[in-house]
Amino acid sequence: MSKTEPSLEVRRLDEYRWLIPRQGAMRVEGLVFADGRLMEQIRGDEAVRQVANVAMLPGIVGRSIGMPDIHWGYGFAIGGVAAFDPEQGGVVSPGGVGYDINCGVRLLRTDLSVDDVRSRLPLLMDELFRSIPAGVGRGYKKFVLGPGVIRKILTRGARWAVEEGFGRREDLDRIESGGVLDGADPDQVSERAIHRGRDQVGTVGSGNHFIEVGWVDEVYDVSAAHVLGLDPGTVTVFIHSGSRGLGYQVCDDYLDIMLRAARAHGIDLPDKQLACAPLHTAEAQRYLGAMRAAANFAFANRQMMGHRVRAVFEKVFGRSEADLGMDLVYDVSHNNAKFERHVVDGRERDLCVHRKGATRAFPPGHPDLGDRFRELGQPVLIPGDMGRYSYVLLGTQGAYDETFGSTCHGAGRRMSRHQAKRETRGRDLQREFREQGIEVRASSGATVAEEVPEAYKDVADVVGVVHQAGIGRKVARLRPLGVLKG
Amino acid sequence: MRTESILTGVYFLDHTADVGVEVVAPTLPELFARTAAGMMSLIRGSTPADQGDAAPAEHTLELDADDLPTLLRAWLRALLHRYEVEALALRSVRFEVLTATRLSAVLDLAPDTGPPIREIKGVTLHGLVAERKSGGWIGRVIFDV
Repeated sequence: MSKTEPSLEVRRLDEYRWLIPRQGAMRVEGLVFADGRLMEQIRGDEAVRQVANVAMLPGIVGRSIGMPDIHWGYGFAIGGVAAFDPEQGGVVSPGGVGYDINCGVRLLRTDLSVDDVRSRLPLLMDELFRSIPAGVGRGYKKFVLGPGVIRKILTRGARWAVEEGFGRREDLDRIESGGVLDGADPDQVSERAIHRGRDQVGTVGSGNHFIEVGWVDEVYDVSAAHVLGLDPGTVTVFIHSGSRGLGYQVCDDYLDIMLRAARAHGIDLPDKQLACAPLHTAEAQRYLGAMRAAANFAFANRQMMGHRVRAVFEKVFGRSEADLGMDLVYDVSHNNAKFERHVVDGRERDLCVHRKGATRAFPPGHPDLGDRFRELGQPVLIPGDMGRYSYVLLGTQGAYDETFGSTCHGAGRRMSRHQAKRETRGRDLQREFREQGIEVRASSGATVAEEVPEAYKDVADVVGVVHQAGIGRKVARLRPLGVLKG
Repeated sequence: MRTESILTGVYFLDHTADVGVEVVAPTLPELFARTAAGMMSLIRGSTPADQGDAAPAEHTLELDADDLPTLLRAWLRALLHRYEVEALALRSVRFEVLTATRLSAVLDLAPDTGPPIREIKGVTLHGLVAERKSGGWIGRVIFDV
C-alpha cells in the first residue's frame, strides 16, 4: 500500500473544498472538505485514493464525499459519504458501512454544576467504571440474553429497552430514526453474530469508544443551545459505542457474500473491501435486513448505557435522575446505509446513502426530524479527543444540498496506534490528564496511549471547516472532566 | 511503514485507524501459522499468549474459499471466533491439506488466561495479500480495531 499516488489529480475549488475530477474508472467526481492544513494531513495516507475508489462503484450519484475528519479506512475511507441510486444499478456495500454498524454518539445533560461534579468526580468515575463494562470483549456476566430477547432487540432497538424500563419514553424522540430502523430482519443475522452479542447490550467496548463526563464551556448559538438544554456551564455525558461483536460479525459474514455477488454481477472492484451487490438483488436485501437489525442492537446498547449512567448519577448525587434533569439531548448514528430522498441533477430520488464515519445533518424543516427538532435542524454530536473538547452542531440546508445531508463525525486520527504508543512511551498519562483536571478510568493503559489527544486532529479545525463550508452550524463546545475508556 | 515484532517473519503495519501485519514465510503452512501468531500478538500485546499448562486439545477445522487471500482471511476469522467466544487460543497447528482454496487442519487450542489488550472487530479484505514471492510466501492483512 503506497502513499497516495501522485497521479491522482486533486484541484482546490475554494478555501474548504477539494475536487477530485473524474479520472480512470471514476463514474462521478470526488469532493473533500478541508482547509489547506487539514488537506496536507489527509493526503499523507490513502484516504483521498479511497474517495476516488468509491466513485468507481456502480450507480453512485452526485459526488463521492470526504469530510474534514476523513482518514484511511478499509475500502471506504472513514469520514466518507456516498449515495447510490437503485434505478441506476446502485449498490450497497458492507465496507461502506463498516464493522461497527450504527456506531454513534449519545449526549445527556444534567442540571448539575461543574463544582457539584468536581467534588465527587473520582467517585463518579469509579462508579461509572464499575457499573458499565468497558474494554476488550467485556460483557455482563449476569446479563446474558437469550436468542429470543436478542431477536426482540434486533427488531425494536431502543424501543425494546424503553419498554423494558431502561429509560424514558421521550428518549425515543431524541434518537435518530426514533431509535429503531424499520426493515430489520433478524433471520439474516447469523447465530455466530447473536452469540457474540449475547452479553454485550449496555457495554462500551474498546478502541475509540468511551463515556465522557464534561461541561459546556462555550456557546455559539445561545437560543439553540438553550433549547437543547446546553446553557453555559451545563454538565453533560457523552456515550460513544455501537453494535459491538454482533455488528462486527454481521459485516464480516456479508463481506464474503458480497465479494461473490460483485463477481457474479460483473462489478470491477478497485479494492476487495468495497465488495457490494446491486440494491435489487437478494444478497443486498439480506444484508440490509441484517444491517438494520445490527443497527437496532446498537440503538439498544446506547439506550441501556444511558440508563445505567443515569442510575450511577442517582447513586452518587443522591437524587433521582429526573430531579438531576438528566435529559437526553440527542443520539446520532455514524456508520450506516439508509434510504433517503435527495435531489440529484434536479430530480428527487430515493437513494441508499452510505455514511461511514459521517453524521446525518438534516436541515430545519426536514420531515424526518420530528416536532422537537423540526425548527432547529438535526443535532450533530462531534466528540473530539480525551483531552481537549467536543462540539454540538446543527444540520443545515447546505449539507442537504451538497453532502446528502451529512457532516463530519469526530476529530479523525492523524497518527497510527503504533505511532501513538511509541510517542507516549515512558509518560505517565494518567497523571498528565489529572493535572489537566481530567479523571481517566480505563481497563487498559495501552488504549489510553493509543487514544492520546495528539493522535487525533484538532477537532476545532475539523468543525471550523464544517461550519465555514456551511455543512454544519456550531452551537456549543464541551470540555471533558472525566473519561472512561475500554 | 512496517515495524519488527518479536515473532519470526511477522511485521506490524502502521495504518492510520487500524492495524495490520505483514508476514513472510518459507512455506504456505508456515505463512498461515505465522499470520495467526501475528494476529494473536496484536490482540495480546507484544508477548505470546499465556496459555498455562492446559493439556493439548485437538480440534479439526475445514475451510473452503475462492482463492488463497480469502482462504487466509477465513483461517484468521475462524481462529478469532474461537478466541472471542470460547477464549481458546491457538497453540499449534498441523495442516492436513492446504491448497489455494482448501484448508484442513488439526488445531491445538488452549484456554487463554491472560487479558487481551485489543479487540479485533474484523479481518478486512482491504489490501489483503497471500501469494508466492521470492521463493517464499508473503501475506498482508489489515484488521479493523
